[in-house]
Amino acid sequence: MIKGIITPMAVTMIVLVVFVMVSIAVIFLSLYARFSFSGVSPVAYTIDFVDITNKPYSVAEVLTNYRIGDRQFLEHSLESTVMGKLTTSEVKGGLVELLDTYNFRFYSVEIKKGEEIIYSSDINRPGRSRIQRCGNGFEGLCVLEFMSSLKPAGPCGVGFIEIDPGDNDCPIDLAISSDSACCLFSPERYPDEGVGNFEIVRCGASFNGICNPLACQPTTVRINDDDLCRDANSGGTTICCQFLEESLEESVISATATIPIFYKGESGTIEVTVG
Amino acid sequence: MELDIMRIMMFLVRTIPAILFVFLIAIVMFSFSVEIEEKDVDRLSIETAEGLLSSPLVTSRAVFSESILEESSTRYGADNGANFEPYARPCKSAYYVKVSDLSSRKTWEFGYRPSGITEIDEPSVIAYPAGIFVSGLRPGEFYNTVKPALMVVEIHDSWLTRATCLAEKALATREVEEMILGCIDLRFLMTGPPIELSDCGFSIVRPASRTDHLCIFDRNYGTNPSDDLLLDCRYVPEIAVRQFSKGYDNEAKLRAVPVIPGTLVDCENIEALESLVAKTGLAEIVFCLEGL
Repeated sequence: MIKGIITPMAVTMIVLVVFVMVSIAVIFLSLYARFSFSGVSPVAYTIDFVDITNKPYSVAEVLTNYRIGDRQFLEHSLESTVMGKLTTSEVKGGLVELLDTYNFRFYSVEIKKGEEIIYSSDINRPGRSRIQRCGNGFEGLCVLEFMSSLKPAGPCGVGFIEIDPGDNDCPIDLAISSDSACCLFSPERYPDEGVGNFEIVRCGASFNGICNPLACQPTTVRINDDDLCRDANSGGTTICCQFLEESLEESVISATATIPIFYKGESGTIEVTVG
Repeated sequence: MELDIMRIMMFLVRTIPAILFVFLIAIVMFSFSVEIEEKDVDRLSIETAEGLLSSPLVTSRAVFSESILEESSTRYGADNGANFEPYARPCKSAYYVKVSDLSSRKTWEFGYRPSGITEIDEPSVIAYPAGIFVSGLRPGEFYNTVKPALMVVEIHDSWLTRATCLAEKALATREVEEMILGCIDLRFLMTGPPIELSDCGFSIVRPASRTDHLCIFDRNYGTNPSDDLLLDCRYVPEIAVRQFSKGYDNEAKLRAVPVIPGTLVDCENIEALESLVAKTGLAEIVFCLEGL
């Protein structure tokens, strides 16, 4: 046998081994694609039409015709971009009065001059806030500290712990000047962190909820407690809230319309976000 | 030449796996089937809503005029049996729109809603924020503003909308158009023997009492052409359609043939239908139905 030359027998063996290995791989891939092990087929692809995309444009059109006090909102916006500040306080009330009637999950109206935000109506309220991520790996969720109803349960609510937001800090809400806490859902770590006065009491038909005081925070959804919260924590946590990644994702679906505004060489934008 | 059995064996052992491998890949590739769901009704609801928000119903985009809404609701509303779809009419499906004043809860609505007998799927519903233009006079000034409103658009897919669209397409293209018809719960006498009622049926007429509508009618309409026997109507003016009714089992192929008015059409002779098409000039639509 000449050194360095592969014998025909060895080549045949290599072909056989490669054939067997590739066949096994193909069969496994085929089975994986055919049967959805995670509930979703890896070869399935769905396109859904999201109607939210066009809604901010309708709201923006309505707003440009909407009168607040003695002038149209458009005039207020023009003036604020020229002056660099909003000169009247009645804009906020007027906007809330109009936009609250639409019952959006979330809405925000911003007047900007370049990158500078002159006015923002971004009001975080339970059940209709935009979810913002925080933490170095965006693992946390921003929760406004003004939600005093949750204070007895710590700044984040029962089952949540406060974490270091790292480089991705939560923004200060311009409308109410309130700080946000960066919160992580971790029922395992919650008892050890010593936050809040309440113990974790599971609720709901499948025990997938946690009893909370007064209201569910925006990162959770309220579910039927199955009578498990009534006496929990001596009646201090009567609301059953469930943390759902899906509801979280759903709640961040939003779209923004940007309307440029110009006045004698000055320019700005009105940004309307609806979710 | 001497045959080397060992070499032949090794050649086969290398070649056969290679061929098998090609077969394996082919089987895997061909065993996948691609399913495409168009979701065209969902898309249509967004398109129609956008169309209505920029139609003559509004003074500027998404800001409705109360007087035009009032007029449209009266002229096109379901109360007078009109079923009109003005401004943004789709072909294959039909829309129904409802605009609500969120401050006074007053509503204006018009459009087409199918009867249960012809509806294919649940309607696709979309809600859009909108406004209603308000003008007024205060001491020393004339002012404009908007009231919040909500526009809800329903897109309905029914056998009547599909059949009327088939007729419209046949007239526009001057070709025989066809579609598959599912079972409509209408029973007609089948030509025997034995003469008995079909499981499913299709019928269409432009009634004398509603000359701008095409309607699906009950089998008793032939002997008693009463409006009560019109089961579902859609506003489709200006297309001449010959009265038609036929029964079938489960599924059928419906053809719309644009012919010169009065032409005798033998629906059994499918090959000859193309030669009857009126390529120009006046035409009326003749429906042919072939049981599948």
